[in-house]
Amino acid sequence: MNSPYLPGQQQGLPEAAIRRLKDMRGEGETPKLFTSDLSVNEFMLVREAGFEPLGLVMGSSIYHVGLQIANMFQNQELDVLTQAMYQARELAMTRMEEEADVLGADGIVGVRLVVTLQQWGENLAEFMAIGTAIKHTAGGNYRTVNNRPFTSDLSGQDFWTLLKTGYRPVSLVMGTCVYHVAHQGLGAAIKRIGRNAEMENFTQALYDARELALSRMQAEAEAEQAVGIVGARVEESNHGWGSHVIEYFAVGTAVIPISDNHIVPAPALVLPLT
Amino acid sequence: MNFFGSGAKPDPEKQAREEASRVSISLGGLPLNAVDRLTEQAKRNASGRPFFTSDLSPQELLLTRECGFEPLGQVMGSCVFQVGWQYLPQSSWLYASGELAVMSAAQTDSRNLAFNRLRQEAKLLGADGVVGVQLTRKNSEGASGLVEYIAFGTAVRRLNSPPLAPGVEPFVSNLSGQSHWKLRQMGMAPVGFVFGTCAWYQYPDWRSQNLMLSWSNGELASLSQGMYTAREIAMSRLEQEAHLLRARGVVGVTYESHFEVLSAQVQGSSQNQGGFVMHCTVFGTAISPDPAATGEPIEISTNLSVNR
Repeated sequence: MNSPYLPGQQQGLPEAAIRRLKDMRGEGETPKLFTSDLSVNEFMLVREAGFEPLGLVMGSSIYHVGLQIANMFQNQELDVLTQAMYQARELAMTRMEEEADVLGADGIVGVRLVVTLQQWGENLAEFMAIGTAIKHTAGGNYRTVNNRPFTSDLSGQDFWTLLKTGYRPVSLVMGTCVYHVAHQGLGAAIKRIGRNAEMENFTQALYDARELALSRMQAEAEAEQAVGIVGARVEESNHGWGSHVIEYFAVGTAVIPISDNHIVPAPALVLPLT
Repeated sequence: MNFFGSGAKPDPEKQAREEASRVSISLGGLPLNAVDRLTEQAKRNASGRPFFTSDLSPQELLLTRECGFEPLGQVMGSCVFQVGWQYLPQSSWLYASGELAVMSAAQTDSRNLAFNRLRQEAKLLGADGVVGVQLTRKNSEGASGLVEYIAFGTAVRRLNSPPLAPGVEPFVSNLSGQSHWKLRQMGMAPVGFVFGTCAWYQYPDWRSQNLMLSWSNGELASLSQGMYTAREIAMSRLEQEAHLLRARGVVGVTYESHFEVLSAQVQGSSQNQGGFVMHCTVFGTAISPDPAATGEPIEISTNLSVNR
């Protein structure tokens, strides 16, 4: 795990980034300017929800993923790889939050986490978190319990809808698990030959790995005092580690209620003519 | 072309015309065929029997009209550019990092040439702006490759308004008719397509090199730093362009980045120098409050489609 994040810290940011972001606030010689990767639709809805975009913020980390040799015939978590995948994402997320802090934002919407593994080996991967920092025009506290900017992977549309239903996003929570699935032994293979049979070994391995990822995500949400997670999903990827090593990455937006009323007006039915 | 000297002699008029086109292109202008087509179309528009071409869908056409624009014609601008030789950054220290200025400039210059041609075509039609611009880039990897930028869009004119004053450039926007209309409801209008790019050469420090050879986890801090530098340069170029257009903000920013290994022979040694090239390109639409837009309050209602 990383050292605890202190709101307002800028230790991960190069000076050029801090200077540029300060300029965007209109404190330098140039007039105020925002940048954002929101589409016009999202821009409109974020503004309708009472927020204004402040800037496109990003965190990036190029990371060397270590090596770990698994026992060929054993189901096991590869904790070195799990740690690498978690820590590098956390580095990127924290830097993105630091940038949002420099802009004086309440939080970040539309966060995307991108991992690019290099095909040519050397175990190098680029981890990137990118999103649009926003701030409520009327003030108010939209930060997390630790006073970090809120983060969320919801689009502008989802963000608007979520606020209408009386919740607000607090944190993009994630859990990851890199798991080695055991090869089946010769004896087991012979026993099953030609038969329909469940591969208990494989079922158990995939189950375990998903459970671990999900429970880690949940633990993060509970630490943020959230009441739930929306848009959770488990992504499965193999990052070129060979056929028996899989990463399960669970990610979603933790939400907390802002009102007791969670009723939305009944939607009108439409028949689009396109 | 006539290689063997048989057949008809080359038409001197046609040759002169081709030569003139090449001269025009080398000065950043348009080939004569394009100029003729557009002046012809402009004449026709002025004659009271207008005719337009556009890649707008019927919905977009409707909404573009709602925004107070009429389409004039499809315009384009393109540029094929050779990326020159790029020497690695050098200093007294053998392994230096720095911007690959030739590579960066090739992207910026070719994009600028393509956009200038797009604007020239629009001006020939008497347009106030170009909407729905699609920018495509084709390039081959490597320092000696070719880059092609092609920009396509529909030239539009504001209804019931005087033509642009000389020296005022038409605006360029990559937004659809739908997005234009929504922006207008918010009291905003697009003012331009902004762009920034950077290619940065980063040589890993010994700490990163050791880590790459090890079995352990860790951040390659000098490479992260290189990626950040590339992005900072690209983003500040985009922001500079936005400031020049007096924009309030930039929406729909597309962020593209990747890095590659570059092995180059170090002068005077048999050793290969393994550095990294960080590429970063950003582009988006600059927007600004528009006095002509009404900015009516927006009402949003939820609905469910009964189509499926």
